[in-house]
Amino acid sequence: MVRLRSTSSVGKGVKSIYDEIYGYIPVSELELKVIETPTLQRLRRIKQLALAWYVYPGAVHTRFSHSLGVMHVIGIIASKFIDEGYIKRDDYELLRIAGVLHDIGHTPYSHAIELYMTQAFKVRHEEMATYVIENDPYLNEVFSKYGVNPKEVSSIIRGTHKEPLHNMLLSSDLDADRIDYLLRDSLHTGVAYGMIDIDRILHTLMVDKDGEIAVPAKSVQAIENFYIARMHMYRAVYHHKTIAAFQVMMKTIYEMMLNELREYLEPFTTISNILSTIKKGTFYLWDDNYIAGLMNLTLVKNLGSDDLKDLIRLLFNRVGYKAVYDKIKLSREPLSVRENEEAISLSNLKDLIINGLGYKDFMAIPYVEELNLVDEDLCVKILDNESTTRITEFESSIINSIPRYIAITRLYVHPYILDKVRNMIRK
Amino acid sequence: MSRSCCVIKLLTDLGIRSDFRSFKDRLLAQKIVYVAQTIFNINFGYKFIWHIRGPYSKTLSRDLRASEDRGGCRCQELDYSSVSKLKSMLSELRGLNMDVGLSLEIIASYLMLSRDVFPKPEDPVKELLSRKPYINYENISTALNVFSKYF
Repeated sequence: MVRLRSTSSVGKGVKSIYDEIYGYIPVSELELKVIETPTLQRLRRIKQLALAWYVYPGAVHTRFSHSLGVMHVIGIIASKFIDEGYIKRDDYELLRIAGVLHDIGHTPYSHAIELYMTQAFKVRHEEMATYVIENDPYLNEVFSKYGVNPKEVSSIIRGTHKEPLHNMLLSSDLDADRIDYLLRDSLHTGVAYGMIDIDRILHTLMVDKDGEIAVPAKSVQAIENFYIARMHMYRAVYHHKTIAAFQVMMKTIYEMMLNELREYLEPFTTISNILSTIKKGTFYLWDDNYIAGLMNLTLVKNLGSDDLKDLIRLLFNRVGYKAVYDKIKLSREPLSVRENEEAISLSNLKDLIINGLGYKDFMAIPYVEELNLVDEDLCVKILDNESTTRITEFESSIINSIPRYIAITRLYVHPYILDKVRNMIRK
Repeated sequence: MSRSCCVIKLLTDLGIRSDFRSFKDRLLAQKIVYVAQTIFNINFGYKFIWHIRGPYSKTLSRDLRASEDRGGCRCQELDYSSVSKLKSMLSELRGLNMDVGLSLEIIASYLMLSRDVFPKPEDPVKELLSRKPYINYENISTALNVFSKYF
């Protein structure tokens, strides 16, 4: 367990919440009121890693514990920077509130359904978070009682707060969100190479003369390990072949339910309807349980098409889509797989399966991801001999030698057609 | 056509050819795209955060770095009257006795402070002077004078 404590005089709590990573997290009266809102309690019912527990049974932790963790980490960094004069003391609680609310706009099943929302409505969870923070009646009651400006909270989450350092704490390579999810996800999955030396990172973090986050050269290994841990976690968890297959399947089921059982999903069907649930105070009902319950109901009451029921049965029994094509490329340069020949041939292969073999569209699904491990402009800076250098330009760092980009190209097919597709590919 | 392709087309039309390997080149491109989106209605849909060096989009930075893969990039969707205005502004900025990257950083940062940042500073010019020790009042005034003709 990581026992991190703020050494600053700020941040004495009225209550403590026990966390599996940090131990007791003290919370103030305002923070407690925010945590107690139905809107934040909703995050107890959204798993952090959606369906990763199909591969790592322990990965059943929630967005709620992650949100508390981010609040705690941001508080530790903020209190250090307050003591050093870079952040105003008055902003300590504001930053912690932004930390605990940063994921408030997440859809059920986290990224599995967010993928659909992003494609269908071009809305990401950060934009949804802004709307929740500025319109949710439960949060706004607390905010108005304690004099918190919701726009100021949401500006930190969007990265548009007037203080660039506030934005860095939630939107940079080494931010509180990433620090917490790496620790928490690696703990719950058991993927040991996701662990990071958080004590060293947090205790040596500083602000350089340009106002950016830096660490001294003696901490460079801790930062290298942080980047390498991210690279491992991308492959071993976030884009794991089997986990991604279940996420693809979940997205397909959700899209089918939207088409076939729309009345059961109302009002969580369109952006405007979801926004009105936020205003009415019923957004908190949109959680993993709601979607899982509807999947159960579909089978119990024999609703929807046979295809939908089949997919739900397969998901419940841990029979996922199968990858018939799987390629992972690592590179020091951006890979742009979405637009290259490989993506085109993947799309052609899908056409061949759907049109050539006569299967339905949902039976073959391309999966293309381009990941950036190191943001060359906002990566951590290293202080050496009074001057700071980005870690990508720091001569003695191994970050200079490791890949900065990962591209994953896969074609998933429905388990029923796996053999026929494999035969077709062989021929 | 992808937005990254359109960004590269815009930058090429504006006479900016680079592999964007250097921070300086990416900084210049970031500011141009922010100004294009905010004032000239050339909307690529990039989301910018407020960084110490002004508006910054991580996705745009990545798209710029990937640009050398797209030799044959074509984009039909750019509004050429807007591009032409942006080109004129850039040409005036190039004629100033100041680095064009710096003048664009001033304009883009001023715009973001006036429109997108919260809490909104009472005086964006004062805010710029306090945030960026490498610029002075004369730099700001010169860059904003050019900008005001197109706003």
